[in-house]
Amino acid sequence: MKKDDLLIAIGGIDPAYIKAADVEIKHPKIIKWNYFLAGAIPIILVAFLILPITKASKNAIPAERDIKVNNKTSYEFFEIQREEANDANPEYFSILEKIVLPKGLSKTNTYLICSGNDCDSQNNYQIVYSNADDSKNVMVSLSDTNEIIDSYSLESNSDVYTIIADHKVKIFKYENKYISLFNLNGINVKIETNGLTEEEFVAVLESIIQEG
Amino acid sequence: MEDSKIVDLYLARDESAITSSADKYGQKLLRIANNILDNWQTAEECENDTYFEAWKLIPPHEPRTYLFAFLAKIIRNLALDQCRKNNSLKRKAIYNQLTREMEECIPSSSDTAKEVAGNQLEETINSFLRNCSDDSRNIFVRRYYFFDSIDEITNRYGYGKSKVKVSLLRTREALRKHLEKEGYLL
Repeated sequence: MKKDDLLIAIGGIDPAYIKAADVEIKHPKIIKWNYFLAGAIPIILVAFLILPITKASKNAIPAERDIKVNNKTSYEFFEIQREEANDANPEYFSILEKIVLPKGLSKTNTYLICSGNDCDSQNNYQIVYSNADDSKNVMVSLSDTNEIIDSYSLESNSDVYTIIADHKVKIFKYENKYISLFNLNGINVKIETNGLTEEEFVAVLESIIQEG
Repeated sequence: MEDSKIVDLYLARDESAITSSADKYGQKLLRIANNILDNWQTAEECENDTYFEAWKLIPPHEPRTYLFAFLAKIIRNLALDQCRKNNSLKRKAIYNQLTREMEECIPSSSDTAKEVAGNQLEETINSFLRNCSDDSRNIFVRRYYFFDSIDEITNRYGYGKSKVKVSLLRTREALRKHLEKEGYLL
């Protein structure tokens, strides 16, 4: 075979593949975050409140604090097979085995989150559970670094936590989002929900923490 | 105009088939040629030659459901021919870079040597692409069929550069293994 035979032969691939590759599609995950970050950060900076979730735990401590949101657009999301992620990090995903999801959230997408080019050595994942029209979703981010690896991070001057099953959990609410941050068995976890009720969010949170 | 009607015009030897093809697909075809040649003037010559070739090939071909792919294959081959014939074009064109990338997919010599006709190689590539994920196949096709740059692919799909590069690297490696299994070698 000559060096350029392959390049020439690719000219004869199935027209269906050419048609599929000619459709302009933006990666929905990236777009969603970009729009979110571009439009919502200034509002979030002044509007975040710590959620008074009294049903989550008898030790819950509701409070309002100043929240700082840091944009982290240098991270990239690579969609991967869930099995691939499970095989590489079984201890990571065991905490999601008994997750209690609201009815209808049957779609699952798993992303490897990377910074820079050295993706192979990184263990940062995001699992997105969503319903058919994406109006409701649960995004679970897992990381073994000292911080949650995601498109943005939240910081608060407050050391106030909600206590759930003896775990310190930071909880925030903004519009139809609930966001929680905590450490479980050395894994930093961030749970963000969109469109869930408070009861549904608490059920998700408790199911993960109790399993961990 | 629908592809089938344009093909009818070719079959009826109606010269408006050429203007209809150019109106519908001219820009895309020109872009493929220019991606390969990096020379608009030569790319435009290739585009004109493409319609002439299509005029000769229809009939007997009737690409009613794949007219763009049919024309794209012609302009792709014409532009690659230009590259091979013209050393100055060849030196600066993406052709060299992509040929080198494709070389990674060709297994080195072994006892399972196989020299086959181009259409068999095309079928082998098709069978490989059938088993690729949609994402990795689209990225591969954009790079090696449409000759898009990495930046163009990232803009099209909204992916990061590293994702595109990693995807291409993994697909080339998988293609190399597939070709090796099928008995191809350099």
